[in-house]
Amino acid sequence: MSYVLRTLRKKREVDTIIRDTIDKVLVLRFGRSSDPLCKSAREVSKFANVVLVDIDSDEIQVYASYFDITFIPSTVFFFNAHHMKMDSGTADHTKWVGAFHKKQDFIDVVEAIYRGAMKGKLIVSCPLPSERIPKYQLLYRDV
Amino acid sequence: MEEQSKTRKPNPKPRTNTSKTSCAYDNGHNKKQKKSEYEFCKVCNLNHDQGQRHKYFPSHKTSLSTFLSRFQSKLSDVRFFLKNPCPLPSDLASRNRLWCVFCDSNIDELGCTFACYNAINHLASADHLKNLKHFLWKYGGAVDRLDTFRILEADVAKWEKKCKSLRNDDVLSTEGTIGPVLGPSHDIHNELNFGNIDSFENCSIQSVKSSHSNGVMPLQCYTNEYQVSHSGRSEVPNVGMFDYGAQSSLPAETCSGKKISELMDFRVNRNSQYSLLYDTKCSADGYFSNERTYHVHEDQGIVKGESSFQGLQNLTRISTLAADKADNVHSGAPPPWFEVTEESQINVQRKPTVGSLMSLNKSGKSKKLNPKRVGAAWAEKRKIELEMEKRGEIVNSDCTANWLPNFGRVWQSGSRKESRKEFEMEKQEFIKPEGKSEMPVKIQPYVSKRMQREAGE
Repeated sequence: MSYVLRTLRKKREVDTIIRDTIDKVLVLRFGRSSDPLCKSAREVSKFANVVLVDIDSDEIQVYASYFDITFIPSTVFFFNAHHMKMDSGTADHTKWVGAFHKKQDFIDVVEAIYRGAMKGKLIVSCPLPSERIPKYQLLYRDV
Repeated sequence: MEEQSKTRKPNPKPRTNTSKTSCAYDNGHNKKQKKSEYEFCKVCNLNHDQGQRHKYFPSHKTSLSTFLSRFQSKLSDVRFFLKNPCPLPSDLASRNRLWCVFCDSNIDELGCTFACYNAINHLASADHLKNLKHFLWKYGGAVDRLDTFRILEADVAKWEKKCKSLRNDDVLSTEGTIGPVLGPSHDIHNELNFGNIDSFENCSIQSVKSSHSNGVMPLQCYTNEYQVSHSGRSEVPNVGMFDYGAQSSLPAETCSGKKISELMDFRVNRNSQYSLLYDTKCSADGYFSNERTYHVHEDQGIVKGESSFQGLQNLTRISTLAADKADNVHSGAPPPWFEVTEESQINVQRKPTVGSLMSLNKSGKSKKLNPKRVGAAWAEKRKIELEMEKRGEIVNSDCTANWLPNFGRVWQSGSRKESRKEFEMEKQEFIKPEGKSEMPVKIQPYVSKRMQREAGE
């Protein structure tokens, strides 16, 4: 379903979309367009904007290093150009690492981000149970 | 037996339901509420066993404030008479009473010459003050408001002086005073009225003025008393009541029909509160030589719809054509301001395009959006910038090629701005060494020292 979601390959495009998404959650999914794990954005379209970012693009590398993306797919959330963190019990609160088990999980996560953002919170807790949260080992760079 | 009595702890204070001993140390842990006798709170109008704590309860406090404000309103009438002493006609004296809530006593005005005479004296008395203090202690309430519920001696002294002067004026005045009601008033309009009461020519002007002045006259009785009396009066048959139907029944010798209408106008327009005043005034009025009592009723139907209001100079007549128009409140037409807004709404709807409608919707939404939401300031600023861009204005945006959002990085501590700056520094450091390492390295074969020596030899 990747044709539904917009794929960004340039830094400028990412900048624009971060700046122009107002009062909606911006879901930046860093991955490969060939990645079969794609989510439908229709259910969250009222309060969220979902875009794919091609990790293989050269211009995007600066974002990949800035956001410390080491695993793909990685999802970063923004609200009004402010980065939203989510505490899902994993080592990295700055992004969601891995795929979502169900479509509803994705919707729940985005909704939790939205609610927290509307209340003025920059970090929200994950509404999903731990078994549905993908686990990973976070290694410090150069280690 | 003695051993038993020794082993037993003596309990000299047996606990009963009515005792005031505290049960605080009963079980050693939980503090139980003090049990006291049932008392009646006259503020809340209920029995309670909360003792002294009751006055701090919020329900009691609200009841107290309403209770005191009600009494205060009654006292305001008394204070009026304190400042403007008025003589009290004997037939009204029986109706004037005040219940003092602090002293729990009824204050009558029987046999008093001035309005609220007994009430003023009571409120200034030492007993009342004592009871007032006791009340405030018992039921709570601001002690600094003590003076609002009593009358100070200085004020009483002034009032008594005024009363004396009024009494003297009463004795001196021989102008055919119309009863005790209007005589002692300092109102100049009333004085004029007294002088010209028998002159028909000036009756219209004077009557109007007196209507003015009588509009200022204080109540001769308390409003609740009045309501009782007034309802009683309304049952009296309308023998003397003037309406236009009965106009012709007036004897012609009194005055012309026009002047009667003028009289009626001012009489009927009078505030219904002063109907009692009316009775005494009208009876002494020269017009009513047949001594009819004139009852003013609140029925304003007499007044309205009449066209012969020439005598009334306190009202400015505007065009009566308004009544003829079909589109008014009575016909159910929409009000003019509503029509205006409808037009403006239509105009607004016609003008904008889809984009601006969307922006309107968005702006409507933003009004409802939480101002404390994340990035609210940024959102507002950005919206303005976008609108300006749509209009074609050049916006100075700080979005350069190197722009990055504030991001809380994984391996950084500190604020997000700092992490962004750190990243930018790292980026620059990454770029510089790459530039330095661009020099090509020429690879040469290894030449040993022996080989160099041999080459040199």
